[in-house]
Amino acid sequence: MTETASLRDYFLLEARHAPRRAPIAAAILGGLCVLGTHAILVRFPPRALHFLERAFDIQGIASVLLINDLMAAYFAPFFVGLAGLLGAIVTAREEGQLEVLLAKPLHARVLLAARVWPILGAAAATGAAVAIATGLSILPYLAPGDMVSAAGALGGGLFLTAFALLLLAMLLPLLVRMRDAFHALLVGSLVWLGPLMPSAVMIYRPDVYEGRVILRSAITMPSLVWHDAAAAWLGPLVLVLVAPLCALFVRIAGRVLERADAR
Amino acid sequence: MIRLQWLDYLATLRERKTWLCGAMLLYAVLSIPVILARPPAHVQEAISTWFGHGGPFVIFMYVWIDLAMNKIIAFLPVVLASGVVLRERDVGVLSILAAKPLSMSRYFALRAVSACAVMATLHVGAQLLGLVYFSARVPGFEPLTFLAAMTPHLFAAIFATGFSAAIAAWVKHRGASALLGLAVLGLLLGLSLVGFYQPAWRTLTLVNPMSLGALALGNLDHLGAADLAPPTIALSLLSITAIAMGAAGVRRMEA
Repeated sequence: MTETASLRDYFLLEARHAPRRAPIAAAILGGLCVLGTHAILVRFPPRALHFLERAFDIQGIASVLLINDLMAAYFAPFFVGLAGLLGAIVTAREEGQLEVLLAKPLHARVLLAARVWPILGAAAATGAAVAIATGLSILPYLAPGDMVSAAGALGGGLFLTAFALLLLAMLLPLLVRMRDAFHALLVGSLVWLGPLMPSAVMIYRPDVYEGRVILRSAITMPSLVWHDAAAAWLGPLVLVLVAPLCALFVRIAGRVLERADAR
Repeated sequence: MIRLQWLDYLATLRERKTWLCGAMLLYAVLSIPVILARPPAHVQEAISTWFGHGGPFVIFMYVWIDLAMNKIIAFLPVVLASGVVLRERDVGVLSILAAKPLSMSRYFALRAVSACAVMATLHVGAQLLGLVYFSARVPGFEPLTFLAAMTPHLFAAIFATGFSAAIAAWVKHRGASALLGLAVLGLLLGLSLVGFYQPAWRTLTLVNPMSLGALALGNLDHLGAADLAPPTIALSLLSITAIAMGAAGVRRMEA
């Protein structure tokens, strides 16, 4: 032993120990869910499908399928990422490992970054896999002149993946202060459910959005289906742009952890 | 044993996450009447096709079960139960518990029953609070039918909690058991009302325990013991089975 291991080695070590089975399983399960909902929804009576068209202001079987698929692209990356983060931070603190690690000559923010980035990366990959499955599986249902396209479906999935990553990153400063993994899981679930509320309101209270077209497009999920052409380029772009935002929140959480560990 | 069960129930009830669950239910009770204030024509039309009639009370029951309570029992049971025994193992107190005159299976059953009891307390609390609030806010609200229709749903919530605990006992890893619980309960609840949308599948959907919890939606105008007893009994038996299977799963768990 002539020299101490570099930070790069430490980052690689943490990446090697990041959970792998859950993201792969979630990507496969998410893809199967997309195919399963397609198989079920196309067998629904026309009236039920028409209800979904009316409720979400969309047209055509492909767009009805897409609305449901987008939920998978929102659920899978978020919960895979959340489970990973809970394991890496909250559970580690609960079990008394984090304090031991923080006693090493290693900055809390370096430890946090090394542990969080592989998890966010795996969550992004899970979401991207589900988005690709959505884009491909919607192809057979596209009609000429349809309001949606495979590229738009892929873009919509990537957009929601990016959104899920942003929510996870914003949760980080809270997670580094928490000491109960299931309390953190509940808080995470609420953060995930919150952004869906405007879409639920849209089904039962469309009058809320009357005369507020821009607001409706900005805060409801079907917006990704209405603006298919925009979703096609916006999704990949947002997925790239979310990385620096995540970096910012990882840094903030690192600061919080540095201040919180002195006990 | 009963004294220990009672103390464990009280301790679980006092946890911070239980209070947060309660806040979530309170939010559901307060927000549903707002969401239902002006249902659009296509919602009324669709609901009268699926459930035979489309009065304001039927729409209310559909939204209360589908939008509020079904979403809640996809998350709360996992939060309450998917760490039983595993948390004690991970923080290193299981070896102390293992030295007590209480087998691991019995300890698991004790914790799982507490989680089920807390879930039931939260569920019943929300319905009773709803009973008062909805009577004032929801036009055509029928208190007795509401309580009767929500009884099988209460047992579905209890089953979901026992089921989450059983997953924890077999998966033996907290993160994985929470993910699996969320995914499976999410799928079962997502499919729970499919039998109403596609009547040809009505019989098939009865294998889904979560469909049993929402079965009352189909006959709200003439709910009787004959409609409520079978799903309630089936869900009770399923809950007992889930906890028993979980207890078998932890038998050889290392402290």
